[in-house]
Parts: sequence; structure tokens; C-alpha cells
Amino acid sequence: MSQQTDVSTGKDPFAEEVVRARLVAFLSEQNGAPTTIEKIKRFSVGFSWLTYGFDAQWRDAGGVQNRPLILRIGPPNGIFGPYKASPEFFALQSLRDTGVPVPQVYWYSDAGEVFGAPFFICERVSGEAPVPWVSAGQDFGDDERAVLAEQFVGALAAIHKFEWRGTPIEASCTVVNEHNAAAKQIEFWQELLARSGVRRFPAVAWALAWLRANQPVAPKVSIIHGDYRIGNFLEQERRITAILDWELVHLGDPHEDLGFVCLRTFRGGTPYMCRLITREDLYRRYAELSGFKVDPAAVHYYEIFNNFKLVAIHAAAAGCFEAGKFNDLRMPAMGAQMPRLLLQLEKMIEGLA
Amino acid sequence: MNNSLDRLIDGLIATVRAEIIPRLDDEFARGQAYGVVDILNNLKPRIDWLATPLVDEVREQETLLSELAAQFGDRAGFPRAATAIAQLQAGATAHDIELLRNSLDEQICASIDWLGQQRATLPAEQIQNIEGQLKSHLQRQLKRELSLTPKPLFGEISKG
Repeated sequence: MSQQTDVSTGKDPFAEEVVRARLVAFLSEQNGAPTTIEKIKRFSVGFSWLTYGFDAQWRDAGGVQNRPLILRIGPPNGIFGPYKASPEFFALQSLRDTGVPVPQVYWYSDAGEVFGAPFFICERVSGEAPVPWVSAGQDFGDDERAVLAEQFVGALAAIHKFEWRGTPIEASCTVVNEHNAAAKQIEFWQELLARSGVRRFPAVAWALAWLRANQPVAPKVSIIHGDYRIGNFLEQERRITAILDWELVHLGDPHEDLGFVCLRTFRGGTPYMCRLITREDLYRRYAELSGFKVDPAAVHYYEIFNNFKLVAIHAAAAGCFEAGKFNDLRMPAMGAQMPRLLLQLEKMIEGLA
Repeated sequence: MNNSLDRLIDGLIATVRAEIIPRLDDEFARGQAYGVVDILNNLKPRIDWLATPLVDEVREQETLLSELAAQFGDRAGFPRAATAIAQLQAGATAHDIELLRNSLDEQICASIDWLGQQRATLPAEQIQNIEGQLKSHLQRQLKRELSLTPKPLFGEISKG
């Protein structure tokens, strides 16, 4: 039994062999030529979208084509479901030639006619994803940190500078304005938290009251990655080869991504935001590259908001596990850590952290 | 914990059976893994959460809710407390206490929501006073929970 096995039928609708057969049919039709799928592997990353790596081969007028590709499927039982592939697909497509390292995207669907769930297929980029949690002695050296930090901040500034109006992103994301950007996000995550089925926590009610009462006005509306942090990019020989995991992409206040970068949980016990850069250097370099001044109070607000968002994600994971939608023990392990996040949230509101 | 004990044990058993045993090549290790399943099956009908921290929490919740009711109980729309620890029957299980704790937390949440809406209409001193009590309560509650929560093994879990 795998993590996606349907308890009632004992079958996994997203098993590698099932997905391979559907990929063969889909890609053969798209390529107009028989296509073979080799080395398909489902990765055990994330709790939400399912990720598969594979090699596709077909012959066309240019000869034999051999492409290393990634398939991502948003399963009906994922913690943020029901899913749509179009926001991530269009964000990646639109940002392709803007200096943001993103994989080339090829196909997508928001319907379930191919795999039984929304999906998209993109280029498989080489590299390793450094994780937020490291043991002593495993951290970056100073040179490596500086080189990666420059690219990390540069990509974020480029995402926020991108003019999304008039692109397909405008149609695939909920459009917000400078005054309701924070409110829309609070609403979204509060709804996810309620759907989790996890009990109510006074510390969350306290945080929500604070978040509602202190909403900042956004300096502009930008594309927001929504999960911009260490662990969500690939790195190879000191080069960031791809920014990954765009499933939470939306339109909002650029301070929201900065607040996410600054979360304590991604510092790995170091003084560096995302183990890469001091807060002061982040603000300074981001302002230089993005062309707008960072408001530290707005970043603080969004650190609190993002901590609340992490609480909602942890609750959703615990709720998914409790409902039997997944049997991945990482989920109750996340649920067990909610007191740590809630105490952090309370301290942040008090200005003690 | 934010999952039920039964579901956690079922999940542990399913994981050992489906994800660990099939990947173990060593006979002794496989036998030990079956031993884990066997012990978990035996524990399931015999264990429950520890009651003492839950009882401590419920007592503090009642104190806070009494204070809130004393200050705002005559105000229109203030959410009234409906349950009390005295209602627990003799022999109540940890699960019964847990349900009461959750119900009292709901009431505290409703009170916080109400205070947020009424903030502009209440005297500043009264708000400051009650917020101080709420904050102290939240901190005690979270610190108690945290004292029972070991540091996570997310690094090991993510890298294997």
C-alpha cells in the first residue's frame, strides 16, 4: 500500500505503472508520434502535489527527441486540494525569460481527463535542494552563502518586478488591490484551517484578531511565490538552477514573500534568513534590485501572517492524516509541532521574537 | 498532539507494514518490525492520553472564562460558557476531558472574536486588563503543551 492507496479499493490511482501508461498515451498524442517513457520515479517530497521524474523519447522531423521531464499531479486528497494547475503553469511560463530561473513548462490541464486530477509537465532541471534543517558543520561556507544569497534575492526581486498585468496570470489568479491583499490571504488560510477539521486554538483566534486589525496597505501588487525559501530551489555548483514549488503562487503584497524568507523556522539555527543572508543585507540588496524600499513593519506583519499560514498548513496535514486521506507519518509529526509555532506566533505579536 | 491516539496507532502499523517491512532485507530486522506491529496492536485497546495535563488545562480555562464572564457577561452578544469540569462524570476518560478542553477552547476563541469586534466600544483599561489575562493564559497553555513536545526530527525525516 502506498501513501496514495484508496483504502476502499486497495489500489493506487497514481502508482508509477498507472501514470506511465497514461503518460505514453498523452505524450504520443501531443507529439504526434509514439512516445516511450523510461525511468519513471515518484519522488517522496511534499505533501501536496505528487511529483514524478521520467525520460520521454520520440521521433520527429528533427530526429530522436529525448527529454528529461517532471510531471506534477494535484491529487484530490492533497492538503490544499482541490487544485488547479493553471496558476503555476502560467507563472512559470510568464517568468521564463525574466531572469528568474524556472523550468520550461510544456503541458497542463485543470481537468482530470488524463490522470484523474489537474497536472502539468515541465523540464527536469539538474540540481539539489538544500534543506532548511542542518546539523552543525553542514552549513554553507561564507563564499557559497554569499553567491547563493545574491541569486536568491535577485530572483525574488525579479519575480516582484514582473509586470503581470496583461499576462495569463491575470486570468488564472484572483486579482487583488493594494488595500485588500492581506485580507484576501487571511481569508484563504483561515478557510483552509477551518476545513482541516482540527480543533480551534485560542492562540490562533488571538493571532487572527491581530492580523485583521493591523493589515498593511501594499506598496504594489506583485506575483507572490507564496513558499519562497531554502528547500524550494535547486542548486548546482553554486548556481540556483530553478525556483520550485509554485503551487501557492498568487497576487499580493511583495512584503509577504519577504516575510516568508525571514521566518525563524527556515534559519536552521543560524543568524541568516533562509541560512543565506542577514536581515539587513536582505532588505538592502532587495531594495537595490527591486527598486522599492522595504518597510520593516510590513515584513514583520507578514512574518506573523506567514507563521499563522504555517500553523494552517500543519493543521491541514494533521487533518488529512486524521481523515485517512494520507498515511504519511510526516503529517502527524507536523501536527505535533503546532504548539511550537503557536508560541512563536504569540511571541511575535508581542514583539518578543 | 493534534491527532487521535487510535489514528496514530493505526497509521504507525500501516506504515511499518506497507512502507518499512517490504523494504527490509534482513530477516531479524523484519521480525523486529513485525514485533512493533504486534506490540502496537496490543497497546491500542489499553492506552489513553495522560489525563493530568488535560485536567490542569481545563481548570485554567474555567478560571479564565469565569473572569471573562464576570467582566462582560452582561454585555449583549457575549458568548456564554456552557460547560464546566464539575459536569464530568466520575470515571471520565482522558478522551472525555479532551472533548471538554476543546469545547472550552471554542468558548475562549469566541470570546477573543467578540473582544476583537467590540474593542472600540469597551474602556481601554478594561481591554488592557483582559488582554493581559488572555495573554498569560495563552502562554501557560502553549508552554505546557511545548513541555510535552520533543524537538522535531524534520531534518532526519526529510533526508532519511
